[in-house]
Amino acid sequence: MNITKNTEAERLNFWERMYLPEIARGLGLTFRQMFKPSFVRQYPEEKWEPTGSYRGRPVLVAEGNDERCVACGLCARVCPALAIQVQASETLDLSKERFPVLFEINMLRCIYCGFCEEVCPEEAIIMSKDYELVFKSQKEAILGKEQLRVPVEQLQDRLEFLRQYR
Amino acid sequence: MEIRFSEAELKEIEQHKSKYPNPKSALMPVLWMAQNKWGWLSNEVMQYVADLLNLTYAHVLGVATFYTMYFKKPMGKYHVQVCTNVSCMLHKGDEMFEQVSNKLGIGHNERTSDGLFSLEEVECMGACGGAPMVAINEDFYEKTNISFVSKMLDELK
Amino acid sequence: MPNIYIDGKKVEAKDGQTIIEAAFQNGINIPHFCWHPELSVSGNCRMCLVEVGMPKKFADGSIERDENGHFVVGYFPKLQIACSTQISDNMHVKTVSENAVKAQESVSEFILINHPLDCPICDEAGQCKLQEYAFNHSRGESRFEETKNHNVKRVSWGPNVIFDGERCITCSRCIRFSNEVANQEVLTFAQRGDKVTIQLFEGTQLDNPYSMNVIDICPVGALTSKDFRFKSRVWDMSFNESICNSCGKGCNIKVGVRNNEVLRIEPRPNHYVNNHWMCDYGRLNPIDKINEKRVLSPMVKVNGKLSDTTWDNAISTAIEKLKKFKPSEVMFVGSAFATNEDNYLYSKFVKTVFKSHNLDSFVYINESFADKKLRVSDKTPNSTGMKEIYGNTNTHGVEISLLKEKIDHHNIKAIYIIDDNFASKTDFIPYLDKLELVIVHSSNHNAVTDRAHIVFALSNFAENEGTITNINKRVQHFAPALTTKENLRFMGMKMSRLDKFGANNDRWTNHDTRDTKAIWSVIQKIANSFNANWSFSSVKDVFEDLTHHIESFKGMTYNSLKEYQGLVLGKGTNPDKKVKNYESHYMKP
Repeated sequence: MNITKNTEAERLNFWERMYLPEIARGLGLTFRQMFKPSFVRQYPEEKWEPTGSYRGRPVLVAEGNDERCVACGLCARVCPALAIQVQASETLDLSKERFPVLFEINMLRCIYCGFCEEVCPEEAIIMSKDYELVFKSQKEAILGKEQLRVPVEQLQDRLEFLRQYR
Repeated sequence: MEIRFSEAELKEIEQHKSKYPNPKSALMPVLWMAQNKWGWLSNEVMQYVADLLNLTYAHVLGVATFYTMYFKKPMGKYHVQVCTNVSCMLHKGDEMFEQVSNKLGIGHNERTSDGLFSLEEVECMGACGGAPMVAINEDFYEKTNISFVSKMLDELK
Repeated sequence: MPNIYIDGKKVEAKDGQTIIEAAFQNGINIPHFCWHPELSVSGNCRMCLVEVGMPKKFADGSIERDENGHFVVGYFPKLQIACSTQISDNMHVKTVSENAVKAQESVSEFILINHPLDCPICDEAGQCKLQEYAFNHSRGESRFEETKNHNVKRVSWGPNVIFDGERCITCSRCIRFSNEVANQEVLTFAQRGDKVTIQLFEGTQLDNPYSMNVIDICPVGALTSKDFRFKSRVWDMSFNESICNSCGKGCNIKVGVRNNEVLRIEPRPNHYVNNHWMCDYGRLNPIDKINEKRVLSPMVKVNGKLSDTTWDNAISTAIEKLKKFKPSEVMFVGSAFATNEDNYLYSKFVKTVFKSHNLDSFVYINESFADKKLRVSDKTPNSTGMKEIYGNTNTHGVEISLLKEKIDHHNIKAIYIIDDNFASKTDFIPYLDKLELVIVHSSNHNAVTDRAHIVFALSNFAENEGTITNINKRVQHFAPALTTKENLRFMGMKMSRLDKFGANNDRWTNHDTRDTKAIWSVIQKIANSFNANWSFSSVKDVFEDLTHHIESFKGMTYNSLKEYQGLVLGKGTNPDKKVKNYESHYMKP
């Protein structure tokens, strides 16, 4: 293979090979940006609010003191990454027969596919807008029921999205 | 109240038993006798009948609950039965039931507080020719209307 | 023997059989709810409707045939229920014809009218016949738009069973089971029509010793176990085959495990032992014993206090101390709770290596436990096998008074116990304090381990492989259901999905893997220090050795034991006829 043919030096014309005009052109682009409106977000100070279609951290929908979850374990079954662990127990009242005594999502395993939300018969686990997930240890990345519970009022966007598009 | 059949009644039961190849079958007439005697089939009555015929309590319970004409709770002295099946319904039988229910202040299978009346919404009693029909205890009143029935009830009071 | 044709397939049947029985025996499943092979026919679910026909005959009685020589079949205009239609020679049955399928779909749609759609919270989901049939034999949608009937929920029927009236499809299996098998006639249909439900007479309870079998035979989730309720979904558990060790009957069981914890024990059909049933005691009692108060690692008493140690240390301490005694000064207590293999190697060690005659065991007879069904008075699972192996014929076991005397006179100075807690021999336990050495293999902490100098952590029956011999002399094989450090993922152990895909940092895999060992492996190490030169690498090798030395076990192998669901002593080469069980998910009765 002959690599001496059609090299960059051959393709460039005289002025391009001189560099200086090109440098001026590049700097022109740079200076022009200074006077255009900025679109960079100052992230930690300035947060991005995703729309309802965003699939962030899965959360449990809480209504008052109770979560909607009946601990059926379908999310745990469907989870392709086995991130969810559920342990059911019996309630005292008959309107809802069972509830989760333990509900854990291992956020290191979670792949945000949203299958858990799709399979849930109670609309009890849904994807939130929460995308800021920082953990200091593996243990900390396993979120328990208390960390997963989010009041239903804060999840209206997603619920509305599900009602429309699912 | 002691739950016990009299000698004569026991004799009658023996007669019922002898009618069937399996004495178990005498259960229904015996339950009917018991209901006539004590008004309704309490747990104690059912137990007594079961012991009498050598059947399990569960079997007697099954038979007693299967048939609606065996009462599982105390009923009134006058048991008012309003038919709301097709023929009677076409002749406003259901309205009749509602009005009787309002008049007595009780619903289906309930008893007035004085223990005089009880009301039941029954299915066809075989008197379609005289629809709408109302039965009070074992007397049929055919081609009735609400004014007649309420007069009847007032008289019985 | 009459032949019948099911879907064109020629099937041999017996006189007096019904269509569904003949089909079942030949591996053809006809959908059914109320029919159960061990119960009377009730015929009320109508799920097993099939087309039935007979060959047409001429007036002279000869059979009409077409030009190819085939039967000309005249099918009955109406469908028949396969569970109560008796077969006759040359009967033709269509189970998947258009009409039959239509009928089955209609029936399942009809049954589903009032059945709540609460599979996600139902314990039966995953092993539910109705769920299965709704998938395989139904239209997939309901035309019923009205409100479903509501009925009683969460009604306690007895100490172990909870009833859900809405899920009930009134198949009457539970009524027939308690009337016919458990002989406790307390259940009945109450009300009628769409209000029909199953009731107990006020003041009575479903509290017979076999009550929990109604949970297994219930084709839907109407009957659930109080003990197990909501503990786990079925698909998260693994079910391994085992043998019940709660009495001498040796009922075949399945051990349901999740996260290395036993959650449930179910019967497994064996025609020769327990049919489809088992008692409530056998279901509930072992669970706590397996999961709670376990000896987790070997322990040695140092300065009067038991403390955990390594296996090497515990075994070498035992050897060192045993060597200090004369053979006649050590009492060896065998155990009818231990397997044939364990007892065999133990007796071999005592008789040929340690050369002692002090080998005997305790007997646990509880007449009040026995009944005329499955429960027997012998509370030990393997007394028959143990006696066969020890070659002793006495039935009363260790003479406790004699033993006490010997201990008092210092004729016996040490005791070696395998798998025995002297539960009903409480008066003997204080005598352990008088001994210079107490060695015990124990799976649970108890009064004996408290007094022992060396405790070997013992694998429970759910963690062990081996064989036990029931009181009817049937040798049956069982395999582990739980993982220990010794049997780490035993070959062929059934695993649940979580077990298969778990990683080390997952919480559900971080259960205690107990550091327990089977008796035979410890005995082998001790014996080898007495120059026995044994080299059994697995319990299978021990059993092979056993079959060569004990006449009545001759010809048995683990494979044949598994194949025939156990073999009777002395009939190792001449097994009883195999009886077909349909244990697969789809074919369960």
